Amino acid sequence: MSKINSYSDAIRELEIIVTEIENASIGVDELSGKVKRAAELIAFCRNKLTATEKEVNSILKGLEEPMAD
Amino acid sequence: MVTSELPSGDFRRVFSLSEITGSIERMFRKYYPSPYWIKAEISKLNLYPQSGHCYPDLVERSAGKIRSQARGIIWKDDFSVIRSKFESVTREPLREGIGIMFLAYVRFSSEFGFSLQIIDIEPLYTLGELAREKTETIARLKREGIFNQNRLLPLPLLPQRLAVISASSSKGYSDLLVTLNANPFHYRFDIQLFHATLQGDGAVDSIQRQLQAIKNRLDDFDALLIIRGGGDEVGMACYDNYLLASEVACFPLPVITGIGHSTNETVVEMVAAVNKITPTDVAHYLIGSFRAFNDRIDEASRILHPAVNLLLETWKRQFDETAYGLIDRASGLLEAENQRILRNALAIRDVTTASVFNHRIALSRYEISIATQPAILISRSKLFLRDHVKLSAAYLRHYRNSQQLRVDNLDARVQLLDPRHVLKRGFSITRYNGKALGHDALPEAGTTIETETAEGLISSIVTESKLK
Repeated sequence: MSKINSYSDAIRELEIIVTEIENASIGVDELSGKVKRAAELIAFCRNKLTATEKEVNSILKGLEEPMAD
Repeated sequence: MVTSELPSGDFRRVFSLSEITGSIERMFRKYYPSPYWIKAEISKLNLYPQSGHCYPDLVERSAGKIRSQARGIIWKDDFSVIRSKFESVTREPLREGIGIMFLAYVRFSSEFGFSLQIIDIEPLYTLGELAREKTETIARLKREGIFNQNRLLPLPLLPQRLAVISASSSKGYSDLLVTLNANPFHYRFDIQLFHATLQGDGAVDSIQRQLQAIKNRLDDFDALLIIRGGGDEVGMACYDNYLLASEVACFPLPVITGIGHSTNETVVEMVAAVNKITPTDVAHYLIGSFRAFNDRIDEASRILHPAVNLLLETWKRQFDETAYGLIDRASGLLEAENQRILRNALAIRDVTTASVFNHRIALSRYEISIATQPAILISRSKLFLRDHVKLSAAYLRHYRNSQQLRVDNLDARVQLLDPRHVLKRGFSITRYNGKALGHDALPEAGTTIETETAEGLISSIVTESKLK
């Protein structure tokens, strides 16, 4: 499996895969591979989102704190 | 010796010269037994000083031409008597060019030939002749319009450079020099002597020559002096001579005469610009001229001094007035300029004060602004930032949530299509030669196919296959 670089790349690939699957344009044999890839991408995206949320929250907290006074 | 014998047979009578002259001598004595009064002109005196005899040539002229001439003889003893009488009366020497009336024997001497033996001369006749000559000279000069010519010349103001016709050794000349040099005013005269014979025979020629010499140097002299004096007053008739008198009359420099005599004024003296008789008088006259000039200068300076002073005074006053006027004007101008500068200074001060005041107000306004504005700005920015942080957080949450949804959605759809889930719902996948049966050819009867279900794999042998 190829490496996932960024969230935006990952989500774009994920959407392509989903579209392919839903259109039934791919065979059953390829399907599980695609699904597996999709699962990976989803996991990456979820992780990314979670990490980003945490990071943003911590940044915002840092910003808000000195502004409080 | 030559014997003078006549040839025989010649009977002509021959006289010796002495026989003839002796005969003439006897005849003269017979026909001219007594002396006669004769008038004639002495054309040449021929006085022999050694012997004392005199042999004058006598002529009678008519219209300038000699009409008659004869030789005279005055024996030594007669001559001295005749001469002293003649000179004492006529004040003229017996000389050539003079007319005389004389008592003479008409003589013929074997030895000397024809002659007139003069035994007496009437001086009154000569005196008359001389007077006549003088009168003629005057008349001729007047007729020719030159009698007053020299007298009309302007006299020099300062007769300083003097040409003097005189005899260097004469008393008159020395009198002139002594008097001039002894002048108490220390006037200085430049005198140049032109030596000449000043009386008697040759005086006319001699003086004429020097007149000519002086004429050639007219620019060197202010006046001409003819000075004579001392010695006999004999032979003054030369000054009545027409030639000399006319030269003097026509001379281009003023002529001053000091001929020094006690007789009548001569023609030369009459025509001269100034006649002072004696050389001493001439000297006094010259000094007097200097003195007069000096007096004129003194007088002029006496007049000029106060006049100049007055003029200077006037000028000084005018100058002072002008100067004071100038100072007044200058100080007025300065005052005006001062006022102007002062006004400008005041104006500048006022404007500056106002400007400073305005700027100060503006500055204080800025100061207040600076003091307050940053706080306001900062708080405003803080609020803005806080809002933005909040907004960003909200947006980020929203964005994350939307992404979450999107991922969840995609996940759901992937789950839905997952073959394992499909198999769980009772579907199965049948493969032939490892490939899912689909669009390819059906497996032939007798071949083995594999069927995958959710729970396991089933191998089956195809009994029949046919296309639908």
